[in-house]
Amino acid sequence: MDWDPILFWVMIILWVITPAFIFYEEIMERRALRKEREEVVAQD
Amino acid sequence: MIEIAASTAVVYQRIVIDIAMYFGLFVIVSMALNFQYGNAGVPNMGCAVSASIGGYTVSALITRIIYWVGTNANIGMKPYATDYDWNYNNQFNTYLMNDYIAEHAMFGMSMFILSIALGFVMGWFMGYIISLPAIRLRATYLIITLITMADAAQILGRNVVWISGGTLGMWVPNVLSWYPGDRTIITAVATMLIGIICYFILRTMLNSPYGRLMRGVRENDLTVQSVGKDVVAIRRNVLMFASGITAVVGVLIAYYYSYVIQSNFIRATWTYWPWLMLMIGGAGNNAGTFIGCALIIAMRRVIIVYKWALESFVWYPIVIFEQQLLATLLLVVMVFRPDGLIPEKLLRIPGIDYRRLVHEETEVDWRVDRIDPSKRGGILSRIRGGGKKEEAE
Repeated sequence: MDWDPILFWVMIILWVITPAFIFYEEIMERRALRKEREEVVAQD
Repeated sequence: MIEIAASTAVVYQRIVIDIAMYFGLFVIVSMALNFQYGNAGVPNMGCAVSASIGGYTVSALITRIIYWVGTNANIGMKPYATDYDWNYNNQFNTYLMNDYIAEHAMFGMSMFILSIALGFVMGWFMGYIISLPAIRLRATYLIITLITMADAAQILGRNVVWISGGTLGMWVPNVLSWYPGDRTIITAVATMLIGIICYFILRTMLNSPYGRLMRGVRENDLTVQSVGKDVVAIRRNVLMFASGITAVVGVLIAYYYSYVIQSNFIRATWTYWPWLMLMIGGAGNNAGTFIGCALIIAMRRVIIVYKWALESFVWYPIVIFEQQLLATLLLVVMVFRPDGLIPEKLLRIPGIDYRRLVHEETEVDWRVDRIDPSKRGGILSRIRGGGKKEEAE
């Protein structure tokens, strides 16, 4: 069985998914922080 | 026509594998640098030392272990004890061992895992060694000391033959030769998987109380010291751990090239490029590290591959175009975006309610301080006789 094409596409998927996950996490964290800041300002 | 199309596809596949491999490698180095500089404020200009230690671990230790196994397996290995034999019999012995590993997959896999583990331990130990004279110093002197150590590591590799073959370099056995296809693809996949593991380890560490302590050291080490924390020990631990992670990259690059030479671990590649990635992306967050890394790797690979086409656009020798790019980008980023493309944000740990922490209604009865200590009760009042008075009353 020729594993090269399978591993090649696994590599591409890892290449795409990892940064996408990290950016998603970063965006969600920034959004949560902004929301908390807005609520704090509204409370004050 | 079909043959030309097929060969073009192969060339593009090679470029994609190369970019993926370098992306994986530099993401690990940049994340380790971000861990040190972005979060603990340790400006490590000696990443090349750690990377070279990883490469030297493969060439000096793992290759010897593999050769020793080959000698005991009686497969006709040539002698390798002296410096001369180590250098000049290296190709033949490596060729024999590649065939041996192709038939013994478990041995190859165990050597791969051992080299990663040993590379980490050696890098960790080297982090301790380089931290001894340097870690108490202020940023400028620390940077100078670490740059010097990177040069020292290269000089050692160039002159001590048994480490990495001296000026000739040396071939290392391909521990993944049991894989029947293209070994670079499996090395790239392994690198990216190790990169993901490193990301989760560093993320967990940064979200832990130790990560907050590291940020405290970065912001004001005097304050952290005043509350009883050992700042020197924290900096040393950070340097050691990140050095271990960077050494793993050295191991992977050794297997990617199947060749180790000291000039593979030059400061420009393993210190200045990762610093540029960190500065462009933005220190203190992993998303910035990733975007900086992706931009620089893509630019560098495109320049290397299409250097001949770019030659007509520049008036100076094209060979220095990469270095020109490094200098120009660094200047532009420092002038226009000193925080990088993605600036650092406040630390947020999932599961902690910050609003409650900051805005909790806390009632403190300050009048307690005005009460005479002898009337408070407890051990002190008993010593002063307050308790007895109350009992008598």
